[in-house]
Amino acid sequence: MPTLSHDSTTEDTQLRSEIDRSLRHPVMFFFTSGAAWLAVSLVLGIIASAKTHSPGFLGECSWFQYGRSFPAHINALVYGWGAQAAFGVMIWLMARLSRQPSRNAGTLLVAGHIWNLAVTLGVVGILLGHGSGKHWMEFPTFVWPVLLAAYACIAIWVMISFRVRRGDHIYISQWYLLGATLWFPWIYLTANLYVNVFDVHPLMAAAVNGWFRQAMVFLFFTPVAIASAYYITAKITARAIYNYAYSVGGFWALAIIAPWAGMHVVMGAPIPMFLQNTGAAATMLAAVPLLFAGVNILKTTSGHADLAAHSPSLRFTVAGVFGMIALAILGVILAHPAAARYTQFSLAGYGYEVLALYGFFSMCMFGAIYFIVPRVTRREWLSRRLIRTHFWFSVYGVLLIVLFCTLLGAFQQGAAQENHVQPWKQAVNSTYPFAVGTTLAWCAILYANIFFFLHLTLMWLRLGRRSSHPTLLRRDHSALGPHGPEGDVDELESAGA
Amino acid sequence: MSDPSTSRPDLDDNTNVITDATAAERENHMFTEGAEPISLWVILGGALIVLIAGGVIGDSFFDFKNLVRKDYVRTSAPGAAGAATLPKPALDAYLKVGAKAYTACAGCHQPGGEGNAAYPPLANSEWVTGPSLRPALIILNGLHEPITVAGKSYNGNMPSMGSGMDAKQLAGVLNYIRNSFGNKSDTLISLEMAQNAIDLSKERNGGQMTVKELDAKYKNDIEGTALDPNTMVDPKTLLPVAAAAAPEAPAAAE
Repeated sequence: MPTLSHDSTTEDTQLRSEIDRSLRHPVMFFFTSGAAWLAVSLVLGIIASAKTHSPGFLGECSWFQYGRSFPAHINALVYGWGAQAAFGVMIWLMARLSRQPSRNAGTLLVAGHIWNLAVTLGVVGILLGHGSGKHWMEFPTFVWPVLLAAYACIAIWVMISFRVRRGDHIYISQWYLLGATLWFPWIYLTANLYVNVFDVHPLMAAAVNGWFRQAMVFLFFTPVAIASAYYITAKITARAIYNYAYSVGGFWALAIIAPWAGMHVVMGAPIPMFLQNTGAAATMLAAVPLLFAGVNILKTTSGHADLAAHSPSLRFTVAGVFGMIALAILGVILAHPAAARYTQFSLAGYGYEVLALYGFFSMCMFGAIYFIVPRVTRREWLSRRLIRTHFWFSVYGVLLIVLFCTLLGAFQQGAAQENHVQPWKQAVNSTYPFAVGTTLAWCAILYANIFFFLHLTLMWLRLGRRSSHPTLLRRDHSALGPHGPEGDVDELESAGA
Repeated sequence: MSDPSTSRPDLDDNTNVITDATAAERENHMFTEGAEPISLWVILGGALIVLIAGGVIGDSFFDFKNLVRKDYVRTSAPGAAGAATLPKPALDAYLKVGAKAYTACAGCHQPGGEGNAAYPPLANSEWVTGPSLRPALIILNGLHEPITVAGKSYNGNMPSMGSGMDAKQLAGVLNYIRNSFGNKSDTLISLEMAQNAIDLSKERNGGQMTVKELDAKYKNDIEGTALDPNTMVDPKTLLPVAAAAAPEAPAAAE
């Protein structure tokens, strides 16, 4: 696959555009409905966050009480947005890297609709009060087999497009995508069987639930995001991965370490100690592959600061990779039993999840979406200002949430809880300013993503710019630039004719 | 948008692709196999994480029997013999101290504060619920000569109760009589105020109070900052607990 020329041949371009075209509908469906779920999730998140400091917000309406709005928020974020963004990236990236167009867009599209229907039923079920109360698994229990079946219909085509790949070389992103494809059904099925089906001791079910959440982060969202980041950085900088051997090593290290992580969330509960300690240690150890992948990706982009400033894809991806490194470091801090003493029953877990889902995974997915959508729609993004707004409001929003929840709020709340001579309400009161700050930060993120959703919808409707130029974040095009003179496609076409 | 390669088969592919799939056309090739060295610092950082994580596993990896991490679960609050030191709302804490001290008063004023023919009531007494300095000085110094309480005249002789009474007890008993028997005051007498009253009483140099002297010189509240009844205080020292200054719990007003 590697050639020494940066320029694509006509055959390459044809193959690429053929692949892009074959996946246009499912990919755009996953991205756009995912972005819609993201907006829904953010609205619910604002409501839930507001309820923590102003319980009277929205009055007595039972639909939006914290006990319903919060699980609806997090489940819409995980299954509505996170999973669907991942599906879109998985099928497109696997097809591109395997150099084979998809012949099953119809199946993917049907499965995508079933997935969306199931998520809708799940979220409405939670809001109506039928949530199961198990974190990240709150959908009413009839939903999970439907989701798993829809997933199977989607993932099988990722596997098939890998199976029929052209060429022998397997790029690192393909390893990560394969991992995510196979790990998701394993963790999702195992966790749901142990929590919802088998007659397991409730304490162990809680531990399995903790394992499930950490596994979803480390074994599904993380590999998809890393796959996307390795692809986007190598593609846009036109550079070799800084150290390819490390990237492969990082994949296997993650595969070996991450499945152990997660059960430390019930540390102190009477389950065998090795489960708690191993869960904590694995969460900390997983920082090593994340750190190495992060350094590897950032090193690949080093010296290309101008590209990161110009390209929306690269800029979002680099921000997401910084999010990954922050996630790795926070994991080491929060999972350590000495810190867990303060953070275990505080806002910290939520901040960690937001960093994983938004600061890391979603930022990488935004990067991929800004790259993929112009290719599959053959239109350029409409507005650099909308992209910039999306970027900065996202970055500052998630930064503040992580700061408020995971560091300031958590340790203050934790320390207040440790003070046994104080009533527990004091600990809740001490987080008041941070809870208000979190609500405001979610508002900023919602602002960013409403415009993202509108922008994406316009692209889906094929109302994007027809131009030979990409939409870059800075306006210093020149005829001497790498893309040649700016030109409207119709004009170029008629000029050439 | 129809597929150009099928609907216009005779057209030059190159033109078609370039004018339609411009994004795919301008893409770079992938270069994958870099082998540049990873900085030693990253490797050391990874090693540090492995060390810390190894410390967390410790020797528990093959320990399938123990359920609870050593020292992780406390049986009781450190250094506390139970609930005695848990902070309470100031009203409860002061009333508890005051109720104990009031046993000395109950002989004459009666346990319910209703008084009897010879001794004036405390319930609904303007002397109790009014300016707080007068009852403080009566308790500390006693009272003789006639007094009119709730429209009825009494001519008793109340001895001084102040010997050995400290600020805590005075504040307790004052708050007790001002918040019991149907009496109710918005703020509590703080320890600081009680101490001020004791100091003022000492400057007087003894002798029972008279109604005349009280009305002439002391018909006002005790100086100092009053206490909000909801403030969390230590039940032993009656001092506000520092962390009680929570956002929506207003600190001591006035």
